[in-house]
Amino acid sequence: MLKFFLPKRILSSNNKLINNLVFLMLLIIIIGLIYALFLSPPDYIQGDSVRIMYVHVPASILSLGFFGFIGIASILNLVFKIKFVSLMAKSIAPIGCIFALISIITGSLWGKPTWGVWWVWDARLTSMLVLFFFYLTYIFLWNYVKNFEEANKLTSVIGIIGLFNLPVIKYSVDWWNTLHQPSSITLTSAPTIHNTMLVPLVIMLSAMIIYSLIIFLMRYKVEIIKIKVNKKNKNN
Amino acid sequence: MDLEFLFLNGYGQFVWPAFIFTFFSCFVLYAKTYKKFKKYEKLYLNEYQQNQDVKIEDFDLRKSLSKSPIF
Repeated sequence: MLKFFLPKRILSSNNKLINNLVFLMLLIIIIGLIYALFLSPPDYIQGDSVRIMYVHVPASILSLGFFGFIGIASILNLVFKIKFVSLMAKSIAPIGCIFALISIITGSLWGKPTWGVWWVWDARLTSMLVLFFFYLTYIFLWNYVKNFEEANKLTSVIGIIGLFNLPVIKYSVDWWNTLHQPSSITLTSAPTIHNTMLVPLVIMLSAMIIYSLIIFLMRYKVEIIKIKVNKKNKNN
Repeated sequence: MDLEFLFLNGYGQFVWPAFIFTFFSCFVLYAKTYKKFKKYEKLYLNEYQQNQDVKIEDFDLRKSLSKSPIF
């Protein structure tokens, strides 16, 4: 699968795939919004505030997943010297950062009617904020360290250190007493939410995955072009 | 007009900003990325247009030669 993301392959690809993905994403978003805002029922305790879940949960899952990718790419880059994976990680970082911010803001908007507070310094919320700062540091280093090799090494170190924060976020609700509820969807067991809520959640997650793919493909191609043009200018 | 849908039983003030913030921030990132993408795509095409022209010309020449009655 990694073969598809080889720089030569991406550079020679046309924009048809991106255009088709945009169309598909819009279609799925419309269906997802109809489900999330009209068809899904309110929660018996939380009422209609539960609808925030349809943007909060997918954004949280993706921000964690993307930093997981950045961490693995950083290891591949530092240990196995596979350079193009760090370009992939660099392209994916702003998407993960936006999703981390969305997760924090929508979580706060969900917290107020549910817990009565906008923010508490509990383990889940704080570790999520730490993840957001890891994303910011990662992006900042790529933008402000001019030497590519140096930026590549520094960002890889940040990627690997940030990887240790992911299990803390995931298991914070089990390890400590927190206001945040435990996960309703896990990879190892059946979801504990009803299908009428699970369906719109999966649809919104799919839309956000396609959105991420579109942004990633555009940013990745830009990064490859930057390197190719810089190389040509140096040779001239 | 029934505004109950907008109020969402009193939770509208939390639900709508959450959705609006999500879509607005996603749109801003998309717009910024798209602008940058188009700029670099244009730059790439300008830088490598010459080489592509040569290749296309060569290809057309070979094609036309192969179709000529002499070959």
